[in-house]
Amino acid sequence: MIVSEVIKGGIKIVGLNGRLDISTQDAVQDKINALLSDGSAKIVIDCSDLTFISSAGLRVFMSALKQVSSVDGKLVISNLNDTTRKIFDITGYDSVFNITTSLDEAIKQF
Amino acid sequence: MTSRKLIYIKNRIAEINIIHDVLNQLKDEWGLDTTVSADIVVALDELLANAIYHAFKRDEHEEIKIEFIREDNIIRIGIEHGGILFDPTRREVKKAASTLDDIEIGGLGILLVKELMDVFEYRVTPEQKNFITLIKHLR
Repeated sequence: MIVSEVIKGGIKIVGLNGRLDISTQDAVQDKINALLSDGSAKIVIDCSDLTFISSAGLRVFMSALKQVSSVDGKLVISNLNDTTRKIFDITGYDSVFNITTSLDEAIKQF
Repeated sequence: MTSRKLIYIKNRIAEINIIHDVLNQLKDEWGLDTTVSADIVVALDELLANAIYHAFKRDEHEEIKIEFIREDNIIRIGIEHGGILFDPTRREVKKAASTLDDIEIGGLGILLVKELMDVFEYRVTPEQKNFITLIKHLR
């Protein structure tokens, strides 16, 4: 799993590339914690290259949402594929997160 | 025509990677569509992670047996291990609440298994081992 960071117009865009499950959750959690440690309040998690997510991965997203919410910020998830989107839908996380179908649409949320 | 594939993994989280690789192979060998193979790999990832984390002592070295059977219109999967006996099918599960404060994380993995598989059953073998059966219909 590769975690990347782009800052665009004051919005921090975190890109996830690979599989997010129990075997990668700690590493990804640590990297996201580090990226959010400056109190960033405008976050997009770009899932264009996220190939797989399990319930362990959902916990990473939830942790990030709680961190951003604690500073009155906003977190938007973009570009889930059919497989990863299904996991959000089944668990009800689709109603917890702000999810968009493109990065441009995600950026417009701020 | 029935096809079978039998896999043994150690009770280590890193070994779950093997199952992802096997499902990729089976997708090609058995002509599974992407949705079916993705649903199966999510269910197996969740159940194996649960077993490895909760059913064994930290230094206990055990094997988990996973058998894949392709029949006419179904994929049948058997998971067998000698960890602490636990029936995951009886765990109560519910979707996430709509507000952040009310979110309960536990049980999401079992919810996924129940939603993604057509059959999710548990039994104890005569040797006192856990045995989970998963069935996915091919439509």
